[in-house]
Amino acid sequence: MTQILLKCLLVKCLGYLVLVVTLGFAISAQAQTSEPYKVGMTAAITGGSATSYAPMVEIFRAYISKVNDGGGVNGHPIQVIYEDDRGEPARAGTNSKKLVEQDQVALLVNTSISATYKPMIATARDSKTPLLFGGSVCPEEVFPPADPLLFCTTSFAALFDGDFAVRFIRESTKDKVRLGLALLDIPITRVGINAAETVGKKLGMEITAKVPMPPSVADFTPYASKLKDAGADWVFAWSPWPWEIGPYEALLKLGWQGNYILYGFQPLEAAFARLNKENLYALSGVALLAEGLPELKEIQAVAAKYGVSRIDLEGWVAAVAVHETLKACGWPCSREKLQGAMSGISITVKGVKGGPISWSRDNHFRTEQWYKIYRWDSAKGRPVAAKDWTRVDVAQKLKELK
Amino acid sequence: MQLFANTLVLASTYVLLATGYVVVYRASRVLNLAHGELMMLGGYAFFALVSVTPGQLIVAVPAALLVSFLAGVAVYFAVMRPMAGHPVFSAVLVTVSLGILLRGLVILGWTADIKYPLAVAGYQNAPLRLPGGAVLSGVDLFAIATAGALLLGLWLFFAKSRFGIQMRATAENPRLAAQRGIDIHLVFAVAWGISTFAAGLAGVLYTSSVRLDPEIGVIGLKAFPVALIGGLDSLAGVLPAALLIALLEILAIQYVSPLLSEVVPFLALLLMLCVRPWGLFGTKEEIERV
Repeated sequence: MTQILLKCLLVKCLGYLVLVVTLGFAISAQAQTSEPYKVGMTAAITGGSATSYAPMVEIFRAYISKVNDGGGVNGHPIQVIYEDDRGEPARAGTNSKKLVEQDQVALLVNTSISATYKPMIATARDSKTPLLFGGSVCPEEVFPPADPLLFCTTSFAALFDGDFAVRFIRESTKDKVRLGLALLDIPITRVGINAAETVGKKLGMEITAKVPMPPSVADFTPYASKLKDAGADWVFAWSPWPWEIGPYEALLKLGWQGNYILYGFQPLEAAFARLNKENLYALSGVALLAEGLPELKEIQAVAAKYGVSRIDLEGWVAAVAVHETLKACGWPCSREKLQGAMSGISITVKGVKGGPISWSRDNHFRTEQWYKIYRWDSAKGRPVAAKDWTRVDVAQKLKELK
Repeated sequence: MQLFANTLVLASTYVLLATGYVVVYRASRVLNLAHGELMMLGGYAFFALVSVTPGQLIVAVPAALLVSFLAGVAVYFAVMRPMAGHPVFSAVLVTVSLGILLRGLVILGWTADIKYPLAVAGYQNAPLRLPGGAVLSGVDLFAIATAGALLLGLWLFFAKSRFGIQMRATAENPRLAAQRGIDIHLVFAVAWGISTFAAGLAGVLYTSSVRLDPEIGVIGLKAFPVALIGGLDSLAGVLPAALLIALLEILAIQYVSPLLSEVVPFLALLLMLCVRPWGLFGTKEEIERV
């Protein structure tokens, strides 16, 4: 009798145990399903640089919403914590510390000006958190030999852009080129413009004027006059957008008839249509929406669905990179595992970029860089390719340039 | 010749902005550090109006200037009048806050995107070749004419009109003016209105020629040395100071280093403060108040 009672108790206990364990697993599984991948972004959402960076953040947000609405990554949503740094280094430092310590993010994303890099890189290194530069200019540390924690998807790159633009100028004209250079005087633009100057000289061009401009310009005309008076028949500008387009418009006001090439940031498409000039060229690492490719139309549809008014495709590319790297990381995804996954991934953004962004163990910029050069066709009333997608071998180009 | 033309264009922007600083300072002894943002506000008012009346600059420009004038009057009654009796320093700090607030509101309303009101209006800023070989745009020529007209108009207003004379009297001795029956609050409000009207003119012209975004307010600070060099309480000093600073900037860009253009106005200001702290045409007594 006692044995029977003990057996019953044992069976009951076992039953409870099974029930508790099953419930525990179920609850744990449920928790795991809803537990998100945490990503922290610090960006210049407001402040002086917001014109350039806020549209990237907007489309980044829309892409992540699209992924989450479609079931997330590996069954987990992506939770992005956005912090505004206004392009201020101190704020970027505080934001990144908060993101890694308080929010425990697996990945940091920087979409801000280069002045914010130093404190963020320090935080990333201290906490061993991968840091992606998505839409902000690629820092030196992502080029070979790359810092293990730093990665970059941004298309514009000081050294490469200047080189490519100047080579394009050389190809476009058989005459002697008198090249003028215009820049906002900050360290990163000096790198780009100096590269253009060096390459230009190597290609036999005459550098007629190099015009650095201060951050607050009341009138671009005196700077443009200097370029015009120097006799430049081509001008290359590589700077934040207002300092690229400002001297061009001032040159137009002065009746200058030369050709002008700049990096095509997001406001380019509107500027092309507004100015309706055929002497404006723009090199770009991402396609222009005006090309109307199906992939670009899809992006516009996503933007419309999530209420995004301004599309900067650099933000889209960064979001795709975050998505792909989290997918490759699997679940659970620690910072270390994510860093490992990022170090050997290839990200394709069809219709937007000329080729994939492939990171290797020692190259976190990309193994190949793609460019397309656009100009405005006033007869067609839309931008056309002045030079189609062209591949640049990064390792080889670095050897050449250094 | 081009150098001379560029100097006139830059000086005209400085005249429009520095006039605003001087008019408010003369009336209320307040340094309005939100003046650049009020210029930006004028630009956005112009953009908003031109967006609803495309092609109708004849409507949009006066309407934007009216909005600017009324904004100045509103600033006086809403922000500056309650500061009466407080130290002038507090009022100056209030203008700093006002500038930050205006920039925030503009971003909320229009985002930080760059805008081009003239293009929205359907006009192009075409180059015009002048006798002597210099080339200027239509907006540049209009800016030079506007700056001249504003100075002339203000001189006539302060010298000949009854209200202008009342304003001068109030600027000299507000208590006595009030005792003589002058509505000094109306005088102060109109002074703020004139100041923001001038800032609005600068905003309309600058955004027609260059661009419109929330950061253009910093241009206001570039005109600050002009007002100080001319003499903070002297409208007569605005033109020579603006021409001097513009010329120095342009010479620096052309012959020394373009980057020096940022420093030159402040170097000139430093020199002026050492030699003649009250400015070219300012009142010596005023410097004690500053």
